[in-house]
Amino acid sequence: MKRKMTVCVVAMLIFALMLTFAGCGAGKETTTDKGKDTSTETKTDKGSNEGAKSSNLEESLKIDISDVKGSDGQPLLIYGETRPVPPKPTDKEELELWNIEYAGRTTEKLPMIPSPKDGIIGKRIIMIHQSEHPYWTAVSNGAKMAAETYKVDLDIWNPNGDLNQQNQFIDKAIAEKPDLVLLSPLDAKASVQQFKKLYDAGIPAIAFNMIPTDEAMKYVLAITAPDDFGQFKKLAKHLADAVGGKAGVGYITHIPGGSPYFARCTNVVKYYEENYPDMKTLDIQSPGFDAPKVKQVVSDWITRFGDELTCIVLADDSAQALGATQACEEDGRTDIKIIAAGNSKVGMDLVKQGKLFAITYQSAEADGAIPIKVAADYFNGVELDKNAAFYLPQAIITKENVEEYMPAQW
Amino acid sequence: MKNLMKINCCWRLMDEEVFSVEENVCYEVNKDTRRIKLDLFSTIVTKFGVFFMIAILAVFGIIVSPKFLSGSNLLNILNAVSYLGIVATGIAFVIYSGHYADMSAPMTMAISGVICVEFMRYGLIYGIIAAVITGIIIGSINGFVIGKIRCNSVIWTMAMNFILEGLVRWSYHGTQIYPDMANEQTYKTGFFLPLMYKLDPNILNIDLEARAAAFNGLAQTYPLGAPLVLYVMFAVMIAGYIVMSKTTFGNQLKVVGSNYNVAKMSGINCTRTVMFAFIVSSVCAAIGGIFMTSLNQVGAFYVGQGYDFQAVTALILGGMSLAGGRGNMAGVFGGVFTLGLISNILTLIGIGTFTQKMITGAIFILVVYVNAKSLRKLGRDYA
Repeated sequence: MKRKMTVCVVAMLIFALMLTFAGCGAGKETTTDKGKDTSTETKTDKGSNEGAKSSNLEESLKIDISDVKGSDGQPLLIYGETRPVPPKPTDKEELELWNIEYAGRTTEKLPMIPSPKDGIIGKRIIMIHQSEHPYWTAVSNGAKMAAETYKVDLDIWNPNGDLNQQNQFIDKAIAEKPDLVLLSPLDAKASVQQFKKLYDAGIPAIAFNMIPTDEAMKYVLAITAPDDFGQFKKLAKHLADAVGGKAGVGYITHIPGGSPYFARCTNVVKYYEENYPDMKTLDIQSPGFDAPKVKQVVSDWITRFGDELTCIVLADDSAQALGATQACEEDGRTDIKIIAAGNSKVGMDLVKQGKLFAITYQSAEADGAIPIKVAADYFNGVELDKNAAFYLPQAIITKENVEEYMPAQW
Repeated sequence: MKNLMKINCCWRLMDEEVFSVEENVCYEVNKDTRRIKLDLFSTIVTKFGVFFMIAILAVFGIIVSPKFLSGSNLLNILNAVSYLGIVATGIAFVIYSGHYADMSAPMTMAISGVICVEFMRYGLIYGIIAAVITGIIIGSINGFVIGKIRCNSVIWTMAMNFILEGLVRWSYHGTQIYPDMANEQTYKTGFFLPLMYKLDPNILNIDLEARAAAFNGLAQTYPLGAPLVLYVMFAVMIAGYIVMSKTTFGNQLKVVGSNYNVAKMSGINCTRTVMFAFIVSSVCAAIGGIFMTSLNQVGAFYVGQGYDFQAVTALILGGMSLAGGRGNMAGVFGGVFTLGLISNILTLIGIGTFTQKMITGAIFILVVYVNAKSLRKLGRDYA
């Protein structure tokens, strides 16, 4: 009995082994077949892919963007003026400001990831922005409009102001392998690792809205942002010309330390020192974006400086503008000329009422749309400059032209 | 009898046969000759509290600027702190009840402002009522959870603040609401706007200009030359003073704040008392939110940010104890006014914001230290 059992077990084992070998052989064959099939398919695909690529490129190049307008009726997909980079100053203080103003414009970049030059249509782009502020909602709207125009598959991720979350989004984006990433870094220094990771993963990246550090710029395809410095120089000139180049100026700043702080305060102070020496700086304060606090500061200035205070430069045209204009009204000083960074609805309403003298035009929708236009240029084979910087269109909004920019985007 | 203290002791012994004791015994006890050191400085600090600080600052203000005592300057200071004053009055009730702080105040302000803007489509008064009701609802939830379930007030109200922030952001898809805007897009977001539109599509045709002007004008109305919000702050503070000092509820709140267990054993309905304190806090935040939204001319989640900590700073400066049961409305006003005064004087001198913050922090530490030390010296506080 035992013998029979042993024979049966051995026979079964041999049968099982035979089956296994037979299976392996068949598997290999199939794989080869598959390989054969695949190679045949690949050849056919290559041919058709080449065709598809060129037709996709042709289709992409045919896209007409001239009529694409934002919700304020302004052209959405046009580049603004790019100012030439002046030589580096030798003075330490000036050099610090220069480094912020022209960040990334002279960086020695690593070789950029080459464009497939197969057209923008159908590309998957991930946009990682900063937070859920009404401005960013308008940025997202602009990006969606541009994506629709270029037929791009766009994903927008919002880290809600959390740097760790933004870092996780970078890892997630690398795992999902999109064709391109648009990133607005929450922290200029932390962006070095973010852009490096994307570069190492072979994913081209565009920095938008916030200009990262020089170190990060090595890995960045291009930057798109509002030219805050350029805009404010224009706005400052507009104000100085209106008051005959002579005034006492008070400054309410943005959050100290950030790029808007320098662009909307230090930049203007320096501009006046160099070009309008009679535009005297009376005081610089940073009460934040709380209207009652700004109101108190401006009231205190009126008490302190009296008629000497004739102009106010604000970093924001909403809460700061309301606080400042109300203080002036309450103290009967409607003669004080106030300029601010714009262009929210509140700011434009104040310009319309004549309470604000002028504001800058900073299209939030264009801030989201322009990076997609740059991405389109990249995929469509347009050669991007080595230190490509694309700024948003600029304008000064005054009582005379404010209607052209209505309704407000946010 | 001058230096004697007569103590009558009645001894009742179990076994009178074994011990024979006199029933009335007179003991002579030496008088406690130790003296409480009542130094003048501590007495002044304790008696006048933050007003002592205000007096010092006022003298300093007069020295640095001749315009300091001008009516317009003082009015500017009061005007600037009036929003904070309204919110701080409410939070004072929470602190007085021994519950540290109401951290949901910023979002209560924001959400009340947003609701007010939504409902002002039917008229300003509807907007204000809806905003106040919102405050009552938030306060009731806070009060119930903290009073009944005994959740930690800081943790719960902070969580509430997050929930409300998420709610506003989700509801408005990250956008903000303007009082004078009414298009189809406007009625797709918000808490009640989609419902309003569904019930009556003609709401789109409402002429909002006048109503928006009335709403925006709330923060820019100046009866008798002073801003309306200032009158409201004083009204809220006077009402707060009456409720806190002259009513049974105020006394009960003091007992609850001083010792919760004693209050409970004394038969005080602690849950109801705590709940009412949080409702007062949220209603005050809602009133502050209405004015703040009117000042900003926009309803948004960021309206009121930072007002929780500012209010607590003002209240501690004003002599309120985080342990509860101590403080008064005069101190609340004093604390709020001190913050305005510091900012005003430092700006008049020409000191920048960073230095101002450092000086404010240093003054805060100094005031709290001197106050606590004086109270200890007088043997009134061992906290």
